[in-house]
Amino acid sequence: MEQYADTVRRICMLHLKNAADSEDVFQDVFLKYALHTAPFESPEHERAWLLRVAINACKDVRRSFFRSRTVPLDTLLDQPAALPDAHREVLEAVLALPEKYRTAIYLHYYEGYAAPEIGKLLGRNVNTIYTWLTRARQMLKEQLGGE
Amino acid sequence: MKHDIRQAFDAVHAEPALKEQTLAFLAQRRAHPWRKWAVKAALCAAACAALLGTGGWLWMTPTAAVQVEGGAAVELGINRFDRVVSVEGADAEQVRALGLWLMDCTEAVERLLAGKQTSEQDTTLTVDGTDDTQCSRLLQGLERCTDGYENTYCYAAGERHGHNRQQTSAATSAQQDGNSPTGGQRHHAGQNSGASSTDSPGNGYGHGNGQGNGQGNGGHHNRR
Repeated sequence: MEQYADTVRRICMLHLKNAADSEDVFQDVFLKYALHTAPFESPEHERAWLLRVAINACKDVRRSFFRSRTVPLDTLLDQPAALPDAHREVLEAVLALPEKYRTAIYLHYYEGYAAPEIGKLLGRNVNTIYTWLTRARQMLKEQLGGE
Repeated sequence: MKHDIRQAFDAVHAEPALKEQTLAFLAQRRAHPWRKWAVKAALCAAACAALLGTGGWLWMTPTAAVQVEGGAAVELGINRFDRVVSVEGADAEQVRALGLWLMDCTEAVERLLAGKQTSEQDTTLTVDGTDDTQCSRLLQGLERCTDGYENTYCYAAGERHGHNRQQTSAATSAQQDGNSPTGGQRHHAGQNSGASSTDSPGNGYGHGNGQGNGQGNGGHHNRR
């Protein structure tokens, strides 16, 4: 858990809007991880598997009828005061993107996946991923300025 | 941008409390792995119980009754599937000994009548119920199975009471013109071969040469 806890937490933050849902998904993902019996081919395979499970779990929660939808950024992070303003601004800009752009930006710029790998993870055509990344970059430039 | 995004997300960590809660949760699930199956088994058992309860209620609830009168009266409770589910009456114990429970209604009546075959008393079978379709079906079945029995009358409850009320006013004229009395349009199958409908009163109309005793017109009357 120590190795992947932060990764799963970030995925929850990207997709969910309240702490209760994040906690549920966090526990569900690691429960599935604990119950997974088939061996992983490599550490990269293991990481990709966890990312896929976390993204799917978040989607399931968002589709659930009874979940609330909007919550300010402060409630997503337990230490909002610890975040520098620049980082908060970047996080808010990324979280303001449409969900599919958010995921693509995170997987590309933070997790370091290339577009074909992201396409495999998300079950999308690689050209679609390139389009998403291009549009997301454009939107972030408009919001944040710079390159 | 890449650098900024990396630094922004680097600041996001899983809270220690969240990690501890998750570890406790996983430990609990590992300690009681049977809980998931116990819940599923309980739900299955509840579903089966509900199904059996509903099925039992559907099967055992009488929706019609067949009253057999001739000597001691017996009432058979009939369920929606035309099976005997209850037996009441003065001879109930003897009748139960015949093993009529859950038997098809027609077969049960045949078995009952077999015990009365030697009796010279008239036997009346009355079908009563709220479902007209079922009552009609039962009546037709009883008419078929009583074809070979003497002095046996089959009625639907409503028709029987209607006949009794109208008997004094309509019976004579109806018999003269050959029409069956009002409400007695049924139950004439198989009666009195060669007999004319304008014959003397009682011929095929349930009077039975003075044996009618208010049993009313429209009775299915077999004479051999």
